[in-house]
Amino acid sequence: MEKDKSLKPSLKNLAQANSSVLALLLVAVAFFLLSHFVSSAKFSTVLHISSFLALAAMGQTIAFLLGGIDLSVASLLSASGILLCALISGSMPLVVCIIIVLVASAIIGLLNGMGIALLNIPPLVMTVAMQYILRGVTLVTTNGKPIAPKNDAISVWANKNIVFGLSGGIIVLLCCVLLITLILYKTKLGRDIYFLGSNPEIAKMSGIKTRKVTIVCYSIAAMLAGLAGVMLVGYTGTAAVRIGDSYLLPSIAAVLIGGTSPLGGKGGVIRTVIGAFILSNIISLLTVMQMQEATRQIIEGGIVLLFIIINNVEFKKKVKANK
Amino acid sequence: MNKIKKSIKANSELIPIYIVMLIMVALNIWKQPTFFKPATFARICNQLAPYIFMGMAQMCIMVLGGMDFGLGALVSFSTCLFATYMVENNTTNTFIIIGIILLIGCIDACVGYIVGRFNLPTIVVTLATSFVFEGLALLTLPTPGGFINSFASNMLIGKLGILPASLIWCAVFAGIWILMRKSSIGLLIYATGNNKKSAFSSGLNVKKGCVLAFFISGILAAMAGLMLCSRTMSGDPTIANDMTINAVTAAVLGGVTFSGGEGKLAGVIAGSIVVGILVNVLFYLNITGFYTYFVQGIILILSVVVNNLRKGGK
Repeated sequence: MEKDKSLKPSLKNLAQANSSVLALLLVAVAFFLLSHFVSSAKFSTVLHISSFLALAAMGQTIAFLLGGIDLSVASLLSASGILLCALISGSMPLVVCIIIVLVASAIIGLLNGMGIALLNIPPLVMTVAMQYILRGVTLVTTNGKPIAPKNDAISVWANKNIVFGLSGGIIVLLCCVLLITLILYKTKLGRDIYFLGSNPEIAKMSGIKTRKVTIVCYSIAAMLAGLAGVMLVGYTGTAAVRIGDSYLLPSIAAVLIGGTSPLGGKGGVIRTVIGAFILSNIISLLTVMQMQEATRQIIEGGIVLLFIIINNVEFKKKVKANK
Repeated sequence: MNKIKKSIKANSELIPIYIVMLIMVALNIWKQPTFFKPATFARICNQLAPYIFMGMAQMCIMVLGGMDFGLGALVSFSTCLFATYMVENNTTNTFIIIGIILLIGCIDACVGYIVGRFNLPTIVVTLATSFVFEGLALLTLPTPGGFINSFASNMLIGKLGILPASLIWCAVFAGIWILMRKSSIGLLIYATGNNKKSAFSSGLNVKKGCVLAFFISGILAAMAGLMLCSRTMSGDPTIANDMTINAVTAAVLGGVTFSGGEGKLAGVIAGSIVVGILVNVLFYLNITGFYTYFVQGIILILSVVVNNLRKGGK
């Protein structure tokens, strides 16, 4: 949310204010064209595959905006998928199952937020501990075996073209982007999040209920991760304990590529979704080039490092320019 | 007499963790009555050594005010290097071991340079590098195996005189740490962690502090890796990945705070022993496999809460 020097809403000013988002979009288009050229990937397919990452990364963005981090994303993704598969095996309608899963993940987020806000545990430590607890619970309940839902209602619904060739998964993603953007930019909660992230001390002094905001944020983050797990089950048709682990670093990478600052208070979800799209293209490119899993990990880690450094340098330039 | 009283007063915050440590040791003796037999005692020392080295390595970074998320991956990577490059010839082998330890130190120092040069949050940087290290480990040694020189392994986890060698190595490195803590290097690291801005404005080289802390942490991580691979006589690309969280728990139990600039070696060693023995005790209580993740998570949360309460009460 940069401030313009003149307040006149002209097209030029608008473009200037969002220049980094526009640049990101250009990069995204370039990467899509590249992977389209190499592997003839379809736009809707790439978007669908990147939607799980985008959902998890949106939750991560909200934690980042507070200056925190959510490492329980990976285990939550697996746990929610497993819970959904177990519930579908009963006789409940699909919608009820999904709602139960979302509520359960929100409760996990609530615990995260309470640990962070009430017990003063650093976000990283709280969410890492939660990741281990969830992994233990899911391992014990499933015995480490993958689990599949009894019927494929969720897969049918998530992959079916609903309107304009957009599948259910993509529509869910778009709805979430719209909803979270509205919350962040148009509600008091959203303003509080940015304020709290950019300066916790002053936010506290000016009467923002910092504890409440933190708890709500981590609950939303966990719910988005849970939704990502649900959509992943819709796409793959199974759930397993370690299935979410490969989404941990990418979810953070997507946020950083989008330009949300790890120090809090700067960024947004639309950038993150574009970042997730770019990253999915990069990953699929690496897969097409038949990279080993190990090499892929090194490249992903390198990308994250590169983007934190770039973000930081840009941030410093801005501070200098304002002085 | 006065001196002893003074030192007890200065270390009074460490008393609870030492009591916990004694309770854990007592529990272990109860479950494993052969505890004081030389062979069992040596085995337990060898088991604890990696925990102690990793706890110390984590302390270096936490004193800086950060947290090393890639520690476990770095330790795994070092075991892979040891298992891949060790040779039969004992003299050459010693040089190779020292070379690899320094190499790991330098690799971690590069991470420290990135943190210090660009003034980045340690957590995000080490999270990224953890994946790089995991990848590198898998590239050097895709499956567990390799070759460990038995003379070297004997020097590390065998017996020197009547004491287990691993105990002596821990003592040596603890001694080096204490000397360093009193030198200008230790002062620089602790001052950097305590308040980066005031350290910078009073003319300290903050960048150098970060690089040094990470270098020392890397060397300790390589030592942990060396202990691990001489115990299993092989390298394993994922052996220590789940031990990162244990190292954090050990440091927190030992009274290291997340805000940096604080942390005592004696506390961290006790914390590491508690964590290491806990794994042993859980094994004897038949709480194994899948449940350990759960227990590890709960204990980490509890240790942070207790630490916060203690600091808050002051």
